[in-house]
Amino acid sequence: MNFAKNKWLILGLVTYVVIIVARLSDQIGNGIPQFLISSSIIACIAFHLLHFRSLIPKSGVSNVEKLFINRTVSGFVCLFVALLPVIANSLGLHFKAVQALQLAGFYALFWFLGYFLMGVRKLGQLNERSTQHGLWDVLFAFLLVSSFYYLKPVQAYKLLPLVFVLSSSLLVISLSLRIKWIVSIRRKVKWLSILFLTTLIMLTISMVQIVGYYDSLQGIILYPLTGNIYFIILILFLLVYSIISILALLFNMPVATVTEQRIEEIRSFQEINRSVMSKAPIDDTLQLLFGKCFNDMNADAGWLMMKSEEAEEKEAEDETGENETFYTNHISQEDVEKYNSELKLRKLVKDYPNKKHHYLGNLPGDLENDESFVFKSLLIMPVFVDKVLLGNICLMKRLVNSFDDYQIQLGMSYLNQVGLAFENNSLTQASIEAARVKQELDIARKVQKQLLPTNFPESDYFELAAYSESAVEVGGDYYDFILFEDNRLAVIIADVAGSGASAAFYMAHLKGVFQSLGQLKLPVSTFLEFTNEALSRCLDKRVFITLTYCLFDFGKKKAVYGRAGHTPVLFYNAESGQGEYLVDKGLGLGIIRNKSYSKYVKTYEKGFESGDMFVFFTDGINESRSGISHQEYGTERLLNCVVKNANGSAGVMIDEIVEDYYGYVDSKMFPDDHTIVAVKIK
Amino acid sequence: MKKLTIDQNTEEGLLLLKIGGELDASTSIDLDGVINSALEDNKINILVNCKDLVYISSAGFGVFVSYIRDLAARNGKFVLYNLNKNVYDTFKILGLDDLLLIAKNEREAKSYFA
Repeated sequence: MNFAKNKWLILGLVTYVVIIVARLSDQIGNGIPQFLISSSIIACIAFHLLHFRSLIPKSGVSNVEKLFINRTVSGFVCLFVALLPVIANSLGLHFKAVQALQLAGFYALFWFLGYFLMGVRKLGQLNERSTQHGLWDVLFAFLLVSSFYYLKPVQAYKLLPLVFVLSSSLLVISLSLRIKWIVSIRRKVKWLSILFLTTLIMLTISMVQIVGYYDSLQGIILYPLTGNIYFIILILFLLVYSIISILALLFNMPVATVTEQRIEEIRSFQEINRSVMSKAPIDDTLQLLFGKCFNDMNADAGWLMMKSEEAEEKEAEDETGENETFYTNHISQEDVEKYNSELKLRKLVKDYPNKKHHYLGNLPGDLENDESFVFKSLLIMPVFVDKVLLGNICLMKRLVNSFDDYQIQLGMSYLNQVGLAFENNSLTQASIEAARVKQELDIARKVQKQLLPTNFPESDYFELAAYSESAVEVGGDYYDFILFEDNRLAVIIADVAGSGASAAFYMAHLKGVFQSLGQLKLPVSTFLEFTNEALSRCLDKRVFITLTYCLFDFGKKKAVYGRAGHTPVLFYNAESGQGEYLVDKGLGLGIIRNKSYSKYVKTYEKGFESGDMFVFFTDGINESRSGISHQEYGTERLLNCVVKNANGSAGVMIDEIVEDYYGYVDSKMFPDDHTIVAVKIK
Repeated sequence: MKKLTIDQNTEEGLLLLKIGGELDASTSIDLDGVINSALEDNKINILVNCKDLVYISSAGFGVFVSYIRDLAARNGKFVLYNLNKNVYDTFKILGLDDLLLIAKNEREAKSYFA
């Protein structure tokens, strides 16, 4: 026995033993002052109340049945103890022995009431809000205070018990009405609770009767039980609480069925969801769905028809049912076929308007009275996922018109849930896939960035600078250069039609072509012809590439260039301080894919002096629009920007242009890849 | 976002297409479909009225480019007319003005087929 845990009970028992000894010694009022006994009784009650209160667990009650069983068993034991003095008396035992047994019986009643109270208190903890702790403590306090009635001076006030009982009854009622625990228990337990509570009421009443009987005859301790407010309030509370609980349980019973059914339905929804989410085979999910519909809609029989994969292709054979798998419940396969053929169910299923269910409240024509057709109500529900019919569920009942609207709706909700769950699943999959693609594209972007040179050579003859950015992760703009040992420089800028991944692949291809053909120091026209031929073999028929290829000869101070349909070269003349676009003829690559392309190849020469500048760019620069005016950035603005910054280095000028460009265009949406390259003559 | 509009008409063995709006990567698929089905119906002489065409992207050119070779092989041709300056300039930069027949107006355009 744990002393610390049961200290209050031990103290209570010790005081009661003191009372017993005093009582059996017949010394009350003589040797022992009455006052002392009264105080002992109060102390005994107080200790017991404290003991019961200390037993109330902090957590909730897990098992209501166990709680009631414990109370009832101990109730019967206590009743037996309470009966002992009566038996002993009839057996003619010694007066003192009977008296001792009476004291034990009295204690049995006292203890049982306290134990019962503690049980009720525990029940109150189910679904409890914090404020109720207070009310229960007030009840305990009331009981404690009421025990002071044992004191002689207090008894002088005759009205006091009445006032006390009346005022406590308010508390009793307010506590009795808080019986939320009855909602949270299962139906079976509700019936058990009614049974146990009735038994407990009986036990209480019988015990009070028995103990009250010998108490009134001989007066066990000081005053008769009936005149004791502690017992009156406690018994009153327990009876009122039990009776209200029983009534509430009875009234709650019809609702309980519905509540439990709803819980079951929610569970079904979850199970269906889980089945889809776990990517169980579709047939398993359909069978689960069928089982749920069957149970929750109280069907008498039914079947699940699943279309096999090939069914889609062999639409014509549907009438025969060859590509169907059946899963039946309480009905044979032959009977299913009988219903199918007699009611032309396959045709019905095929002709579903708007994917709705089909409900036959009664069988048509003679079938209604046909004994061999046992089931008179039929509900067929098609299972659609992503607008594809996977099969259908047919539920049957024996009675005519026995599916109600709620059941039909429930069934349809289950079916919809399957569709929704599949949709959710595919959305989740899609977003995972999208994230993966994004990651791949980021890698592609990094790889493509490496295809564009970022380190520019130091030279005594020129400065080179460039900037390039794609509209999406990867783009179709390209620039590159080769510096030959004889002080010649080849520069290329290109734009693949279209954008995104396909353009990026052609751009990479072009880099290969430039890096190999470029090394050959071919004349510009030959370079363009060969490049056209190399590209024509791989470009998609709708794709073409525009480019400008420019060969600088710093010894001869001239540049030879060919413009294959690309945006014109911007030339800045340092001496005049003016800029101009070199608008010449030239056709894009991949437009004509045979030798006749050479007819369209034109090359031009441009002499240059120190300080002059060549600016190459793609149409993403001049054609990007402002977010405010919706006007294009334009070649005019570009030209002005170049002229304004012509005195700085090529690098500074590119920075200035890029800054001006981003300041102008709608930064949220670049419709095209944009690239700019500048070559400044030293 | 402006959509692309395509009106079709057949006149004396010529297919008249009137296109308007913006011809870019997404809308060029529609034009591609129209021209492709015309070629399947053996309509190889095509007039394109670009009066309301305000913008053409590289993917838009791609449609014309892809059929130039097909049409040439079958002795058919494209004639574009009523181009606004912006669109015409872009054709010119690309060098397509030498390759496609570009007319000022419908009368001139039809004369190419006479």
